[in-house]
Amino acid sequence: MIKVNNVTAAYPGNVSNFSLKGISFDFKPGERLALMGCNGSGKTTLIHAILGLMPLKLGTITVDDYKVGPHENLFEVRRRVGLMFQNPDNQMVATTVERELAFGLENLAVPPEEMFYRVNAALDRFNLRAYATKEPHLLSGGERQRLALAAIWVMHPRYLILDEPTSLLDPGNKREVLRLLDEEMGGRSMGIMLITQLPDEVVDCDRVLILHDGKLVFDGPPDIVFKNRQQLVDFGIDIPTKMKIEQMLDGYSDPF
Amino acid sequence: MIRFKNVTFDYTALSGRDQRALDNISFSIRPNELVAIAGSAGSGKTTLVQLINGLLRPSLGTVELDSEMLDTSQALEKALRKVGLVFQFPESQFFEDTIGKEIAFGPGNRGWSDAKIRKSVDLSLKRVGFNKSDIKDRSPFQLSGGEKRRIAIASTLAMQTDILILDEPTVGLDRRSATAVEEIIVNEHARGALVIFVTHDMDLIVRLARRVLVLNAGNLVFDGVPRQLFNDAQMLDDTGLEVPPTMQILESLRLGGRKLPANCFCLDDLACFLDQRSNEEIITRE
Ligand SMILES: Nc1ncnc2c1ncn2[C@@H]1O[C@H](COP(=O)(O)OP(=O)(O)OP(=O)(O)O)[C@@H](O)[C@H]1O
Ligand SMILES: Nc1ncnc2c1ncn2[C@@H]1O[C@H](COP(=O)(O)OP(=O)(O)O)[C@@H](O)[C@H]1O
Ligand SMILES: [Mg+2]
Ligand SMILES: [Mg+2]
Repeated sequence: MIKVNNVTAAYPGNVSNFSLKGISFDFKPGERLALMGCNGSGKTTLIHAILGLMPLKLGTITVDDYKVGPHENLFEVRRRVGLMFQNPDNQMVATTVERELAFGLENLAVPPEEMFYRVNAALDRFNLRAYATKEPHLLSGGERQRLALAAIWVMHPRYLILDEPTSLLDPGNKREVLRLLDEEMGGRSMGIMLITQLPDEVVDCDRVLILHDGKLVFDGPPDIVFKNRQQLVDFGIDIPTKMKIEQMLDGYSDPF
Repeated sequence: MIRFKNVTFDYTALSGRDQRALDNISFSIRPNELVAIAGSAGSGKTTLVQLINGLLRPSLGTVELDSEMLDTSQALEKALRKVGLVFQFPESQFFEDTIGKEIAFGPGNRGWSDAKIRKSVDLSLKRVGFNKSDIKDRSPFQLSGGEKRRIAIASTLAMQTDILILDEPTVGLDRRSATAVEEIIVNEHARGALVIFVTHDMDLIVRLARRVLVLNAGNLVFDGVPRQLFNDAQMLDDTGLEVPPTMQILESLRLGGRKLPANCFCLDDLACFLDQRSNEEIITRE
């Protein structure tokens, strides 16, 4: 379980403004969370804090009882938590797509046969076979996003944190990626935290967490959280199209 | 006016590897059109828009801007002034250390007076939803993802170009900022600009665009009215696109037995339909 307890943090270049203010919640393997909030509300900062990439002013974070800190338990934390960055370029390190997929596995000292097997599985699952020997930075934005997701997926993390993973994908690829994530959930009881601006993507999540100005303002199942339409509008968040249509059809009866 | 004549683009020359990104594409866009570009990841959208401002040059065929071929350095220079392009990845267009300087850079290059530049910078920041002027002293690199994109849009807007191109402009924006960008698209078009936006948001296409170009593996496979595209199931299937969410949900409600119209493409259409129905009911009751 990941435990976030009363976390407060500020960026070194922006110390007068706290980007996270007293945030607490739990995240278990097998759970599927959505994290929403308007631009600048603190979503990326929060997940960077979970990976020890952001120093805390107050509070604690633990991953399966390992305390997260700038120099503490880095290996144990990174082995368990896979993060797909908001901008895929921030995570590309290798010179070919294949090597990009193998890179993280080498760091985890995965044996070569296993590595070969996992890289090949990822090339197929994420539709990257045709680009295997291409340089990652020469792929289109959406292709890079698919690669970034595959590169995390091969590491078999227990918790998968995705910072807007489908934002550059066309509807077909988007659906495919979301389907893959669903499959993974069943198979490996992985915990998934999905950051997104699209309420239509989160209707199937177990819980939606909503950040506003660095504070956690909602934490609950989507059908309950999205009932607070007016408050959500004030937080800059839309409700799912399905709920909007249900509200519009409320009181409308079909012609005979 | 933008005219592509048999344009092919290969990335071979740059990377030493063979990659055809666009294959024999022809179309033209008149001044003051509002056009969307759609297509699956890697279909060639970014390549196409970068050919319009001269950032890329065709391998075969020609690109013309206002009847002038983009093949001399003067013509390319002019293209850069006429065409404002907001990049798919906003960081790739930042280079100044403060937001104020970043946005003032383009207008400064045009030789505008300081007062005019300042006015344009402030107005552009407001239009992307930044109302406090202290943002101008911050670094464009130390912002959240969505904030960066809004600054990138502001710095292009500030130049008031005749042609405005936005490469996936609403990605990562919250509802309020996405609405602000929609207003920008509509208002720039109303001001007389030619506006092109690349997007994966089918709802945005049906609500804003009068015309949509669809790319598939480097080919231009559709050029027409959005509603015609969303009635063409085969075309959508071939190109990895889908009907907008409103249509999908209404379709599933119809499958569940409800009698709802098949020609509501967005929520506004549905609202119209419901209005009409309730008016008819009032009339029959009277
Ligand atoms: N490197 C940085 N230095 C200083 N301040 C920063 C930095 N990155 C982000 N901030 C600020 O911290 C706050 C939270 O930013 P964060 O990136 O967590 O937002 P977010 O919720 O992920 O937004 P988005 O939806 O736009 O990605 C914002 O006010 C932002 O301006
Ligand atoms: N700099 C580059 N070098 C080589 N190939 C590239 C480069 N940029 C893009 N490509 C390839 O060209 C094709 C079209 O890319 P792009 O125009 O970015 O697509 P889109 O914007 O539609 O996602 C893709 O197959 C991509 O891999
Ligand atoms: Mg973010
Ligand atoms: Mg692109």
